[in-house]
Amino acid sequence: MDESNAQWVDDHTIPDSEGLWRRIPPSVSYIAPDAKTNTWRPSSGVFIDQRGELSVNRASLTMVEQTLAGTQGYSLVEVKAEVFRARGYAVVADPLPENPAHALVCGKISKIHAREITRAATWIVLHLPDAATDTRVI
Amino acid sequence: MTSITASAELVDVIAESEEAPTALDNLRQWEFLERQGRRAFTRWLRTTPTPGVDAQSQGITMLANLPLWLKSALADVARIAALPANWDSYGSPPLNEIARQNAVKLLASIEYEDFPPPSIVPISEGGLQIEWQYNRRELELEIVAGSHQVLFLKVHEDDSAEEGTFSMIDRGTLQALLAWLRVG
Repeated sequence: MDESNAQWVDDHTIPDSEGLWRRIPPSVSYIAPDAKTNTWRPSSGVFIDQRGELSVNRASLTMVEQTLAGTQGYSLVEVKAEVFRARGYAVVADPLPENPAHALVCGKISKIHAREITRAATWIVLHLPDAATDTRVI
Repeated sequence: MTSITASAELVDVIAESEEAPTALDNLRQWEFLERQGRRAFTRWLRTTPTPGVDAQSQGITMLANLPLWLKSALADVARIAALPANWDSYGSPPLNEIARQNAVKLLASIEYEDFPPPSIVPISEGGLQIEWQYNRRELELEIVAGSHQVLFLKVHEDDSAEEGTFSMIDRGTLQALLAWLRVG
C-alpha cells in the first residue's frame, strides 16, 4: 500500500467477513478468460482507482437489485473486507443519502495487490462478454 | 477535399485537416512512428499516398494497413476515449487526454507485427491499462492520468509477480518487458 495513504483509519465496525460489491460496466473489456484457471475473471483494473478511494457497497446493507439499479448489463463482483485489510488497505463506511451501503477502500492499491484481489473476487452477477443475454446470477 | 501529390506533403496535408478526428489521430500516430524511425511502417507510409486522393481517405488507408493487433488496440483506445463522464457508474471522468496520447504512443512503439492482441481497459479517475496474456505470462501496463509514468506488472508462468514503474521515454524498459512477454 502507498504509505502516503496511511492517514485512513480502518472502520472495525465493518467485519472482515463483510462482502464488498463493485459494479463492472459492460462497455469495456473488464471480463476476460483466465488461461491459468480456465475461469472468467475481472481485470485488475476493476480494483484500481487513481484517487486511492475505491467505491464499494456493503453486501449486508444492500441487495443486488439496489446495487445495480439504474444500470444495464453491469456485472457485480464481491471481495471480502479481510482481503483488502490483509494487504494494508482501510475499509471505511461512507453512507450516502441515496446509498446507505456505500463504503470506501482507502489507499492506492498496488498492481500486485490488485491482481491478488482479483483472484479473491467472486461473481455475484456475471454478464459474459459478447453474450449479453447470458447472465449468471450466482 | 485536399489532394496530395507527393509523399513529402502527407504530414502537412493531414496537419491542415486537424478538425477531423480521424486525420488528427492518424497524424499523431504517423508523427510518432516517424520519430521512432520505424522503417516498415514509414516506408509504407511514404509510398502509399496516391495523387488525387483526399487526406481523410489516406488516413483511413493507413490505419487499414497497420498490423491487425495494433489496429484493434487503437480502436479500443478510441472507444475508451469516447466514453462519457460517469462511464463506470462511480462518477469517473472521461479518459485523460495525456493518458490517451501516451497509450497510442506506447502501442505504436511496439515493433512486432505479430504481437498478441492486448485487452485495454479504462481505470477509474482517467487512466488506462493495457493487458496481455501470452503463453502463461501476463503483462499489465497502467498509464496514469496526467502523467508520463507507466506502472507495470509482470506475472510469470509460476504465478510469481513483480511490479515497477518506467517513464514513457524509457523505451529500453518497455522493449524489455515486451520481449519478456514474447519469449519469457
